[in-house]
Amino acid sequence: MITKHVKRSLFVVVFSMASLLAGCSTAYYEQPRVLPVLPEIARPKRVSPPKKVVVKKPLVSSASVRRYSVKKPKVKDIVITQKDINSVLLKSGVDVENPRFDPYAAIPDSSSSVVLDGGISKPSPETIDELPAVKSLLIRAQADLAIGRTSSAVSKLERALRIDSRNAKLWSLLAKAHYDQSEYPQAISMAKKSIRYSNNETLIGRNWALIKKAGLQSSDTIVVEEANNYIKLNP
Amino acid sequence: MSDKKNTPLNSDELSEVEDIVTSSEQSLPFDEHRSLEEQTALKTGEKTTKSKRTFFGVIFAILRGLWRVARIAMLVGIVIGSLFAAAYVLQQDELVRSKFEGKRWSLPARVFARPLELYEGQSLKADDLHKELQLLNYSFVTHLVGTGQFKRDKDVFYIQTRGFKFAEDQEISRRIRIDIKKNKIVKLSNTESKEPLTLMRLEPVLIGNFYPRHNEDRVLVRLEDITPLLAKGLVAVEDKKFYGHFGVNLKSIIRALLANAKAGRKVQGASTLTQQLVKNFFLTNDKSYKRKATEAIMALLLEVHYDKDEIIEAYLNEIYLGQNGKRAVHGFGLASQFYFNKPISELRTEQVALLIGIAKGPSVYNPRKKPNSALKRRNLVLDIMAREGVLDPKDIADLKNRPLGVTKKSPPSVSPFPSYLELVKKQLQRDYQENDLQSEGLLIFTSMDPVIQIKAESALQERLKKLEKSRRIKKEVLNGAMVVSSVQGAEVLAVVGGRNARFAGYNRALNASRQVGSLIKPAVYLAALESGQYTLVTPIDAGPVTVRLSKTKLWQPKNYSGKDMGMVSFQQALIHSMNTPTVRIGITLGLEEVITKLHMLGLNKAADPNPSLLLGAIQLTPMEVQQIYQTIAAGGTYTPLTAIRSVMNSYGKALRRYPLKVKQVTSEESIYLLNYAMNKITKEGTAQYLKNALPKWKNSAGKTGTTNKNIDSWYAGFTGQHVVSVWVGRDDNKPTGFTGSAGALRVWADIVKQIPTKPFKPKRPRKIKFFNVDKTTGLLYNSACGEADTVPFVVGTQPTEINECLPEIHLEASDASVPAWQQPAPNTFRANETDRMNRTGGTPSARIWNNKRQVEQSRGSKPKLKQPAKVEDPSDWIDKLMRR
Repeated sequence: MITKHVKRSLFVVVFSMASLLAGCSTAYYEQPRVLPVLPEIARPKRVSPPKKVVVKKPLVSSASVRRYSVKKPKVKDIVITQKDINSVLLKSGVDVENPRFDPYAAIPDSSSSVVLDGGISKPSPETIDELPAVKSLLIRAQADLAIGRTSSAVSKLERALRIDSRNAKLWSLLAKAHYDQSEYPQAISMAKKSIRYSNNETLIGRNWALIKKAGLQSSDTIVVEEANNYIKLNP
Repeated sequence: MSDKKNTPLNSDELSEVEDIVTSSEQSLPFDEHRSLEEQTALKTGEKTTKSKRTFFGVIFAILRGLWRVARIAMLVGIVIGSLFAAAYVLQQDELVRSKFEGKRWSLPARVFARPLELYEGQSLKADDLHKELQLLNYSFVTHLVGTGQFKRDKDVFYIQTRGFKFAEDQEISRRIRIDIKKNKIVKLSNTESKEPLTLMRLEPVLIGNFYPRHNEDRVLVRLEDITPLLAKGLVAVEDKKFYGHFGVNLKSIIRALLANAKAGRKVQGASTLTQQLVKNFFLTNDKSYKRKATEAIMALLLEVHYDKDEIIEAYLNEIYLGQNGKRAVHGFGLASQFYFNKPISELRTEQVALLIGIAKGPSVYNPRKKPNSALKRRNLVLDIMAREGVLDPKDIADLKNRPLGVTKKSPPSVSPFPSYLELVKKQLQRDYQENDLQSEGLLIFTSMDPVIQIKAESALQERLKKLEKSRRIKKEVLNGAMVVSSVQGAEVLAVVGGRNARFAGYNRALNASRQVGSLIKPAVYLAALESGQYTLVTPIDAGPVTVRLSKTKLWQPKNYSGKDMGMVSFQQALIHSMNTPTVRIGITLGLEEVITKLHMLGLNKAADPNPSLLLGAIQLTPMEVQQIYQTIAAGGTYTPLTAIRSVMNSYGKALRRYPLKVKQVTSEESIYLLNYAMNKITKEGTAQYLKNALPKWKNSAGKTGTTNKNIDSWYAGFTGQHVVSVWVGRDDNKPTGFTGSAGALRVWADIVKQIPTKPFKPKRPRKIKFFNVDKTTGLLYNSACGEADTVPFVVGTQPTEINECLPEIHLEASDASVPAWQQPAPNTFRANETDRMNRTGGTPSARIWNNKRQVEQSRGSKPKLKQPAKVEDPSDWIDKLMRR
């Protein structure tokens, strides 16, 4: 009899523990499925009652919250329509956009221009293009290209690029040299590089023309379309 | 004169051995003349005994019969013999000619650094130029007299260059003047002619060799390039009749024979220069008559085919002149480098005489080990040269008094830059056979910058010492590696494989794969920017994150501080290298996306698609890291890192060029945005140490990396001209206690401080525009409140909503005892749930988050949830992303 009782009580204990465990585990396993997938955007869906309390509490009493909320927009009860925004945008449009801004403009090019900053003049990046060394290499490379000594031209251009890596003319000529060697993808990449560093519209136009030719040769339709778009806009 | 010749391997033993000289006639196997005389003698004998007709007659008859047989046999023998002899001579002839006309020597490949370009406007420190000239073994003099010399008056250099033959063109020897002001060449001029000099190169520094297996090394010289003194002196001392004999000097052979017979031993040799050359060229060093005979035949053949100048030129290059470690020094070209550290054309008379003297016995007359006997020998050579009329006898006394002039230490027999050389070899092995590298005499032009290389080596070494001292770590425990390359051409300029850079040991820069930690983050953020879902101000939750890896495995990465950072903007997350936002971004985006980006940036290795990859759980070598940062630095154009510019054969013909290759792998707009944020890292983020460590003009961008328990400390960054990656850690993989910014960043700053470079100033793409946004909310700036921050956006992705200023909040704030304007500015990272609620969810304000697309998405009854990137296999590592 005693054993029976013991058995029964044991059974009860085991059962209850098992059900507890089961409950816990199901709760544990279900949780993620209920939860949203994306943390940032997911959160609003999952504002559970206990958390709400936590949320509200500091709003009311915590000093720190008050401190933080000095500049924080408490937009709880304000709804802004697109119209409002647009009107404000129009008003303050000049303030908001900063078209001339260049975060790197204030940085001098070298230690020597730091000294020059004080009074005389700061060498602008354009003057680098005029380095006689680069110029002479450019001219020699052009001559090489004209008589078909492409690989010699390439090595001269690369040498010049080591001196001035942002010279749009060098990149453009290098693209042409690669085009002459039927290396079309390279020609396209280099012409694009030239476009990136160039402010000269005729040079950009020439580059796009080369890109189009190279694109047609290598049947790269995307590139041809890009080039066509440019040429259409800038006839 | 004697002709002691040594082979490299047992020179000591052989230097005392004299050659045996015999007459060639003695060793001839057949002697038909003698047998004919015998025959005639026998015939006369027959006549005298004819009358007797006795027993002798029978014998004579038999003899006669025998003679007939013998005569036929002899004739046949002579014919066959001469046929064989002819065949042998022809065979030798073939051998001599093929060897002499083909590749005479296997020459090691020589590896050169980049030639230093000189032009007005070039950034160059005076001390760096001085160092370069020293590396080229230019001598520092007060008056320029010959090539390879320079004079310096503070910042003005006068240089007499040597000139160099490059594949495409030639730099002639010039006398130039360089004025350096404020670390820049301000004037470059030719002092001997009025011609303008816009651009020139110094010759490249030799940084290493790939030696052939038999360890012979030589630098070929041509007769017309060397001083006539050398050839004349050599002839005077070794073989006076060189220009008169035909390969073998019979007169001197006889004299030597007589002298040797008189003395009873070999006291005199009679080998001509030709014979010596033949012996070294084709024959072993054994002392048999057969060898002597062959030598003579070959010498004759050589003289038949080639003129004296060709023979003496070959001799100049062949002769053994010393031993440098394991390597045998052959030829006068290398001997000049070996003993005087100068090209042969720059040697003085007594130095030439010394080299001629050494030729007799390089170990007996070794000027470094036995200066006295070397001096005696040199003076003897000078005497002979005067006697033979090569030198003016009046000068001899003066020349004899001069010191030997040999450098104290022999040049290193192994390259001083083993780390870089290993990279060169790796790249060459793709295109060349090992054997060709060791024998074809290739000239390999690399992009190594020896000045930067040396600076990088010492920067790493010095900084590691300081780091150890600062934390009281045992000495020599920390180690590191560094790679420096140029931004635009992706040319590797320096490789430091470890602390002890001169020692060719474990090359950490190429071979040590280490976890990279946060260094990976730019790839994640770039992928995010590229996807168009993010701008620099997109708010990201920096709270705890849990990623489910499998049914039972969860991954809960923490920020480095371990804290919940609240809501942060996209750029802040990168600038302060926060972990949890990065994981969120990466998971939202999809790991495949990030891995694809990594590969596009140049990762050449399989990456495990595990979420921990987002925080850098991938092992990379510094060189692999360098490639990724190279692409980022170059504005998203991928160019494979290369060490070699071109390869030239020994005749000066370009065999192969490694042209520049570029490939745009990301949009220039997103890379501009990424670079903008990475530049901010150096201003206000984890690398803000640089703000004070470097001058303002050395603007840069980069990223720190730290792995768990501070085992690895990384920093990879770039200026406008150089990309540098640094790793600091321990070889035993134990914690160092240094974060990326406390360890590797310091080394990085040290090297960038020293090298002339260009500031990081990316050009703004046309589609990028700057907008003023509110610092905390990321909405458009409202001048009525808040702080403005000018941030770049791709046109069209800028926020469309304006920051709101609410008076009631001010009222609420004014409840506090301290007025609002005196209260501390709000922290950007608020670890506080309210903030997060207010900024993202729960309230309608969630809708007005900056991005137009998001605004549109959320317009509706319920904010739409963005689906995470699809995972191919649902049973894979990630079931769902969940938040605690």
